[in-house]
Amino acid sequence: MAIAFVVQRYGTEVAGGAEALCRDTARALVRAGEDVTIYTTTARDYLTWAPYYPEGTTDDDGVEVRRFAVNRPDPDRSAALVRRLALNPGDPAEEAEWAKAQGPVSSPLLAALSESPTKPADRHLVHRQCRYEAVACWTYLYATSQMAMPLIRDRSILVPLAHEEPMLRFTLTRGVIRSARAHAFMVPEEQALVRQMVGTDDIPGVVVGAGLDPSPDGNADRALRARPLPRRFALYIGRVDASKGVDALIRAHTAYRDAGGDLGLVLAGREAAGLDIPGWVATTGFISNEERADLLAAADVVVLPSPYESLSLVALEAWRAGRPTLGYARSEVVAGQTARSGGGLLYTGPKTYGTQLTRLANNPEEREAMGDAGRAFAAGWTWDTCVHRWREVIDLATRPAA
Amino acid sequence: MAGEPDPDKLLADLRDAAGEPPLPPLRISDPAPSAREGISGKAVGESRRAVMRLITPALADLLAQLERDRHRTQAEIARLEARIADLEADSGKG
Repeated sequence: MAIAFVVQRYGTEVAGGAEALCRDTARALVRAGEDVTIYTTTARDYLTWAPYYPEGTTDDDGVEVRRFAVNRPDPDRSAALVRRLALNPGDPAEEAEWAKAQGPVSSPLLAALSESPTKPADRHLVHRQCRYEAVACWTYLYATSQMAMPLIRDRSILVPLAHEEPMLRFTLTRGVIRSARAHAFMVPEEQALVRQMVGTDDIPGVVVGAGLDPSPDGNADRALRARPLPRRFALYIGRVDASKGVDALIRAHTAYRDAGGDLGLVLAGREAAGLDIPGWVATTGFISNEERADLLAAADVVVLPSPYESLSLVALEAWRAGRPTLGYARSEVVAGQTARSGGGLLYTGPKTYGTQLTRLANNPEEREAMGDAGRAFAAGWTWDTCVHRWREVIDLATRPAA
Repeated sequence: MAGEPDPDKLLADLRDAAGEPPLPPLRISDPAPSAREGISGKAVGESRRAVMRLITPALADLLAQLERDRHRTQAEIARLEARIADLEADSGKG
């Protein structure tokens, strides 16, 4: 089966959860015998879309990658418009201007995707495109998906990767989501969010999820030898950024410490500018997969403070390592994953953060039981299962309309 | 579609596909201009806009939560209405 993915960025050097999921899924489908082509841009940076990769076709472990140049965006204008539209969505001209200012708009990518049988120079592209049984656009948020969707509607899949955010209320977003023949979701909570906010009961969807790649064995002693860390600690993995809830996490953990809590706090990931991190918080900066596994082995608890998630892969990694999680209940996805797995507890604010962390810190048996439950849950997140569900969603997208 | 796709046309196609939202969106309008004239009126208007810019991220976050709650509640009402209709149909059969 031949499938095309449209995604705003693609490559090992690209830092981004959506793009990494897209790449991992493409590679898993190819390993399972499918033919996957990526339509993407030359960009690595998601604000400037500055060219980083050369234009043209390359191979990524059997995945054909076609990169196209990007028109210049206007990030300042995009930011101003999104601020305005967040409070007052629905103006067609402003939403269109936002989409173009944010980008990435790639005219050659759209030309390659479009059906133009009367244009002789595009014949080979038309031939190529026609061989795709389905075309899946990754994330509703960027111009690559927004502008591709009207071109490929008759066999389109949208992977929204949606969470509660202002852009989900835009009319233009509703158009992208409603244009798809089928939807591929990461978790049931994302499916419910899109169905309720956009009204898509008539569009079939499948929760495809993702798989977990094999991880190196973690070694707690090695983590504690490698850098100065608290003897016992709660671990955060991800971008160290206020938008990920890290500032609120630091405030909640400060209150926990002030009340006599024993666990330290370790933040593992790249630090965004402008976050005030107290001296007692241990930070690691970027970590390798081996360091990640070691830190997970050494942690008592893994904290999940982000209020916005469409899938928490860190939670799955923690559970696979047998570590309980403490997640922010405001994120429906984290709350749902936690409830289904039995692998952790939830908190609603600083007070319950302290209560729940104390409970976990003081109860090794409960930590172990949650770790076991989480490990069993994470074992179901395999690429084989994900590929099987992708075949279901492709079937839904290509099935003749009733 | 003949020729190179026109981004504006593609975005217009999306607007057509959007249809009506499940619920009318909540909106917070721009601050009203000051009724005063002259420099003081201009200063008051500027101050209002500056305050609005400052609080926009927090307001947008709250609005997103509110919208989520409204739509969740609406879905729950629809589910309960369907359940009541089923129960009434069942009791009618009896």
